[in-house]
Amino acid sequence: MSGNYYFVIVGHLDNPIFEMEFCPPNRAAEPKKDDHRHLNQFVAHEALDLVDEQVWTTNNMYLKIVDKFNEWFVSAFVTASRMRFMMLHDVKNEDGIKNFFTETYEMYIKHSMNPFYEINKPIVSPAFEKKVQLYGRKYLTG
Amino acid sequence: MALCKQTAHEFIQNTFSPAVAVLCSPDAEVLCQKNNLTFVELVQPFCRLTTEVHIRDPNNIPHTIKNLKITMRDMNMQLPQAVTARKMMNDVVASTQPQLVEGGRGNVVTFGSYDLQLSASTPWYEAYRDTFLKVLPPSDHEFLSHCLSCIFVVSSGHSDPITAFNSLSSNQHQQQTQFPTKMPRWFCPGILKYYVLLHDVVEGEDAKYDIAQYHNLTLRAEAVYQSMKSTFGGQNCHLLHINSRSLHTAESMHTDLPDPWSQFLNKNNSEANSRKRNKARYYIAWEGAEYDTGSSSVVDDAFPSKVSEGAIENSTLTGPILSNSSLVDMSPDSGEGTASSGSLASETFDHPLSEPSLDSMNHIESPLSQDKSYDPELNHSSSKAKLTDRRQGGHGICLTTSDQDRIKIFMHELCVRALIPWTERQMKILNEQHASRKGISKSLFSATKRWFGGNKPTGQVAANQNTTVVYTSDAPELQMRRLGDLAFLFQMYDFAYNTYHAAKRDFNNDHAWLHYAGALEMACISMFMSGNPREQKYPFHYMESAITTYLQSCKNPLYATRATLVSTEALKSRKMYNEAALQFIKLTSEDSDLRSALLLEQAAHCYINMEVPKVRKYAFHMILAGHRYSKSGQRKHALRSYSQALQVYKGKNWALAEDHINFTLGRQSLNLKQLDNATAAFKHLLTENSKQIPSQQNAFLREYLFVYKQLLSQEVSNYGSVHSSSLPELPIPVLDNNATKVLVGHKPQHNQDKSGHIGYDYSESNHPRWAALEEALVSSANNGIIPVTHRPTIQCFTNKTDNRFNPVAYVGEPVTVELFLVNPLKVVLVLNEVTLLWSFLPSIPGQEKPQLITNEVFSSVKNTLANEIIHTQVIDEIVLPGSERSPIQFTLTPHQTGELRIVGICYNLSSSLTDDRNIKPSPANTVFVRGKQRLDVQGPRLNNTKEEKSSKAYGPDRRLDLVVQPEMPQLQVSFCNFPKSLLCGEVHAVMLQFTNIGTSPLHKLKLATSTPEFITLGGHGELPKFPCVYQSVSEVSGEETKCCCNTKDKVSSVMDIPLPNRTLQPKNTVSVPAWVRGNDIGGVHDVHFMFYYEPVTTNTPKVRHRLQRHTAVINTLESLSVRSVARRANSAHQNSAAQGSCVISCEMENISQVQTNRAYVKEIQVNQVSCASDLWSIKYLNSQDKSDITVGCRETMHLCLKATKSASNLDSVLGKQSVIFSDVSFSDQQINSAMTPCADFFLRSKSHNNVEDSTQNKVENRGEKNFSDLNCAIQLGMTLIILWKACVIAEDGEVQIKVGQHHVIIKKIDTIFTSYPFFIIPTEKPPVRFTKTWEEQENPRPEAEVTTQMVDINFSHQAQVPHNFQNNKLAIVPVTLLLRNCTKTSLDILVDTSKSPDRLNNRTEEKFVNPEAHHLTSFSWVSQTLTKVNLDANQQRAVHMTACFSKPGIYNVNRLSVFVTYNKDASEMVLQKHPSPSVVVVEDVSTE
Repeated sequence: MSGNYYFVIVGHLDNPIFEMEFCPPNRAAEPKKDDHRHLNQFVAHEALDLVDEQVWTTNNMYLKIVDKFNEWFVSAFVTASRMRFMMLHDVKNEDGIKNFFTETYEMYIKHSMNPFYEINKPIVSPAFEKKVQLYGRKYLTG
Repeated sequence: MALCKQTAHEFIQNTFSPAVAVLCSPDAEVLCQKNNLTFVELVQPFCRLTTEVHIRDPNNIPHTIKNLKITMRDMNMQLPQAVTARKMMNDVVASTQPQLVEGGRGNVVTFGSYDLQLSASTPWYEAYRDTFLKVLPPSDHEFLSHCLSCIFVVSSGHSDPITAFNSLSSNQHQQQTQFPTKMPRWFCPGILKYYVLLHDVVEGEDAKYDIAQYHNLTLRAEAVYQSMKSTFGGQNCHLLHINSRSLHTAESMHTDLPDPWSQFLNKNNSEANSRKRNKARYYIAWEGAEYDTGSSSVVDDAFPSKVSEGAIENSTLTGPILSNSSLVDMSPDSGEGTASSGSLASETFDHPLSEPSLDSMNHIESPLSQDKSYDPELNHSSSKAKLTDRRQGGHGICLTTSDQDRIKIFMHELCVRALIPWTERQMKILNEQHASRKGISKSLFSATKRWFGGNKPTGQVAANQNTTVVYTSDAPELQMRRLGDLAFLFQMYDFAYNTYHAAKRDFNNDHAWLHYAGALEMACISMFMSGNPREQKYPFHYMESAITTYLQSCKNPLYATRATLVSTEALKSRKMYNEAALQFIKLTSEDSDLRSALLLEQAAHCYINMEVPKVRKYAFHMILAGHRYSKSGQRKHALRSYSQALQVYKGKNWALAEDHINFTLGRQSLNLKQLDNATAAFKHLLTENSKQIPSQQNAFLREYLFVYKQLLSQEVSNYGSVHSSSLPELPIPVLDNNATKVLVGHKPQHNQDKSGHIGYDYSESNHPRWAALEEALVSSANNGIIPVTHRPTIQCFTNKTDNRFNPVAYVGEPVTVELFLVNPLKVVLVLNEVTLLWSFLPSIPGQEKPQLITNEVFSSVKNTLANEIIHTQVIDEIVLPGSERSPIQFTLTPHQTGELRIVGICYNLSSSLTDDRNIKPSPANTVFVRGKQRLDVQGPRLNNTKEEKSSKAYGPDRRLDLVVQPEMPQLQVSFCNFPKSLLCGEVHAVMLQFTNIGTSPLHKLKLATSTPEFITLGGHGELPKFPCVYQSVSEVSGEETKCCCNTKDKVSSVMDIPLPNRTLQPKNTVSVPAWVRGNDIGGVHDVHFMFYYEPVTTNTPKVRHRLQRHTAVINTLESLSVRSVARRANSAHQNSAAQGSCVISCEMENISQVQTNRAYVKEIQVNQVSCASDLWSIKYLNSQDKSDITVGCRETMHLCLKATKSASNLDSVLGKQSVIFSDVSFSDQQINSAMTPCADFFLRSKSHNNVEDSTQNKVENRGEKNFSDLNCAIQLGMTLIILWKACVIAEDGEVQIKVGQHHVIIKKIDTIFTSYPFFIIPTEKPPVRFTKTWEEQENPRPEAEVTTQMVDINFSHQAQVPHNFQNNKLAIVPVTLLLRNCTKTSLDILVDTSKSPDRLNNRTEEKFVNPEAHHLTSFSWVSQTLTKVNLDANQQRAVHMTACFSKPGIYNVNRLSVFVTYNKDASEMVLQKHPSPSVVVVEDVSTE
């Protein structure tokens, strides 16, 4: 159940405001394949089209798997303010991803209530990052 | 999917059109050659019928055929080999490029929040498609491209045309029967044979001008035609007259007739020409230049022998053709053009038309590069094209319009009279066969099938087992397929659909997957072609399964591709873009990068054309396409695709994706030699928020530098020199513009002086202090008035200073500019030869328009010239570690007056090869680029007016625009023997040296300091010689010295520095002694000095004075602490001289501790205590023993002194300010305390204290002012100066003797004063109130402390009273009460003996001290108990009283109350404090 994950929050202007990669703990020590990191971004960006399409077909925020490219599945979650949480994963883990999205959404709401945070601006809060990392370990790679 | 020229229907019709083979006899070919055409080419433009024709299907139902197109094929033409075909496709794609590079291409379309510039059409895709279909090898499973007919062409000039026809026919027959797999394939055994007799109309005319002959020939042709008709049948023969115009007339006439052939022939040629016009810049000659080889080597290559191997081979191949042509007009339609460019060196290497195909061959498909020979036909035609070019470039010049009409008629005849009837017949036969077979198969064959193979799974499940069903060519299934194909070719789509549908079932049953897929495909297309888009659903799934079958079961990607090409066109016309995109994507595979690239691009176009455009999918697929393009060597297409995609990704923070795109763009542009684009792309990689790892960044940086370098060298070679006069601007490192500082004048150099810690101060934080000092100096120089035009001099301009005015620099004086360089990358940046760029406008008197000089030049001569005007410092190397911000200082020294503007910096940017700092990058192992960066500073945000508040307006900032003024005197100050650390209170002698290092004299030298108590220059009497500190008096005397000094003046912090002759000439030095005294508080102290001077001759009206700042940091160590308290002396004598004397007790403590490794004071020897006061003089109470007083570490010593009022000081009576110094010396040598520096520091510390007091007690003082007369009752106003000598153990154990002085200012009696200032803890302020409250305005009253001590009370009586109590029970003692008015007002005093202070105020301590109070109270005052006296200022009176004692004992007579009022109001009598007891001993002498 431990695969590779790439999580990104995409803002209203199709701009990533938060990115994080999760590797299984046993493979964390390995050097990352840097030459393919850009592919994650490409795939996540590409899937936005499908997210925007599918968001109208359901009442749920969690859209499950919306796209697939080569070995990557793309799951998505759209918040009430239409921020799009995208998750690239190479193994299926529907519940885990759903939980992860829900928890991260909670964190995101808290973060966005900070009056000094402007919406659609990159999230640089280390606390947020730490929390997401924690949820990633808990629900995705753990 | 992008727009195509053809609609889907047209495209499908063109793709699947009836094919006819052509076999020409050589003589007929010669006739056609006159027009530069082969016969096939000749008829090509007329292959499409413009009229409707009719056909009957096997059921005799007529159908209308519109726009029937016949595909003519030369029978001898062979399909190219697979490798060649691939190359052809590559070439055709490479040569088809968007019409324009910049500007007008595409149109901006808005999709949601994206504005994209799209090219609507993709001609390269269409070209690829056409070529693909042309070279697609025919297959056995379908008959669509098989030739239905063969046309035999013989000219009328042939000697025996009928025989010729027969031999041609037998040739054809032989080919069909003996080599069935050889091209072309034939539809069926009994194909249609058609015979054409070609007659050249003007042949005879040309030859002889003999009309008879001409007629003869015509007649002969007619005769041959007649015999042909009889031999081959009337409908199968045609006599075609061509060449009605002779070659001569053709050459002489210049008609602008439309050339119907041009669009079919040498397409490349015309396109290349158009390219030549449009974008010559796009194609740079030396395509083959590898990335790693310097381009220069190729440029210089003037000899063909040095051209790469592939090129030589090519040139030999095409050599003959080229050598024939005298014109060097390049043949642009094929790869040979490039090859020839190698052989024809100089003119051709920069020819714009050289093809990228060669390049792609060399690099990508290396096996191909060896095999460049096209098939003969192509070569042939290309050589033809050259021939044509050499003439007039026209085709069919011998053909008149009537000739063309004849060809049209010929085609029509062919179709209507031969082909269609043949088709009808053929279909009928096939249909009959089918029907007869249907009878069997339907009943029997399928039944058997059902019996034996009924449980056979159908459909896709079995598809993967690749059965090899081989049908004979006349198998019924294939006949059915033939029927379908015929029907399809002749546009009977419903019929075709039914047939295909039936055939499909059969093939499926037989597991003939290839056939099955073909039938499916065609069924689907027939449905599409026949159907009305609104009525019928497009059977999309047919096509899906056809493609899947082609791909998976048959492993036939070519046919899968064809199916996709056709199907997507159909889908597109049905607006099923999503499905089309999926089909395209399905076909992308590893086996052909070019195809994948093209299809991916089409898929991308599908996404963008959807109803809800999927922009992001578009972008992603463009990226994928670009990737595939680059893999297949199509660099221009790759570049185009990536730049298309970049439009979507740009500026969205997808950092890694953007980096990838930019990097690829850079690489591709570099490969295409578009160096400026490459540079721009690489520049984008060097951003601040790059998420790349350092090694990647380093690679990017190196790539960027490399490309930039190439770009620059290319510009050099193109324009002869580097672009105009400006350096290129570099993106890194980033300049923090607004942090720029400009320091005018000498740069602070640490350790410049002997005392290293005294230096210049230019930090902007202290600016207000400096401004205050400057104001003090200016006002002192201008007799206390600050000029209106005065504004504080700023030496260091930063973003916090007021930069509205230009900084002033002086000739010969350096200007230091501090820049902050920020390295946004994580890798080390190395800058070499960094220097400031400036522009200078010299102000030469008399010259109207001075010329602007700048050092942004390249010739070294100019540079040295510029350096002479403004000497510019060059920093050899700056190493900027990753993500660091470091300040860099540059120095400029102007040598002329004028206006100097600092424009930016220029430097060589290079990267270190490794991250290892130890390896020093040298020019040899690094690539570097010389570039510049502009420096722009922004002024402060304006916020004054409403407009400024609402908008973002910024004020001017002129800190980089300096005005260079003529030379000025220049002061250099050095401090000799300046201490690094001092003891608290230590006095140290220093020497100030002033040197005028300028060229003109200066005067009015002044010094101002923020801490005047720190330094003195002397001023009282003779100055001691430099190293000495104190001056001693020759003989020790108890005399008090009087020193008149105007204390008020010394408050000022400005000191004049005496100069000989009041001026300091250039190169002269003046030494002035000075003394410094350590601060009373231990710790680190900053001391600021500002020196002021004026030039003697002012040649610049603006600047009147110059300043120099110094700051010293002094560490003071704790040494001595002195606490003193003064009490009123109890003088029992009525001696007027001793009146009002005080007893002062001093407690001295050495508060230094013994410490290892740190300096400490071992012992302090108090040499002398002096008193400085306008009234008081002191004496040592223990006058007998004047031994040394030494205080060791942490020891305390008490000293008692008596202060008496010195009556001799008349000055104070006269109101003059003067100070009396009285000394008590404890050593042999008495120090002259009234001289410099002792007196100076006393005065300075006093004034300093006063200043502090006045600020602290401002509020209180306001009320007290009125009571100064009363206050003087308790005020003393004396200062004790404790002069000491300390034995200091330094850090290194060295013993040093230091001297110093402490001051204790004793202001009032009964209060402890210390040598060090107290820190006043700020009182808490009441909360801010917003409502106004009416405060009771209290009457100002003097303080209780004052009012209770207004009168000095002394008792005068016998100390011992012997009394015989037996004689008299009562002892009567007279007591004189001495009352002295200490104030300066007259007082009313009431002495009340009846009221004991005990009763009046319960002083518990007194009760405690005297437990037997009743005993003490047993004496009583007799006689007058209440006395009222009036005392004038300083008046003393005695009140005589009598005490009566009843017992012997010791009594304190101080048992009365004195009430005093200062304002005649008896109700405001205040009880006076007189705590000192006066004891009387009453003895009983009766026993004796």
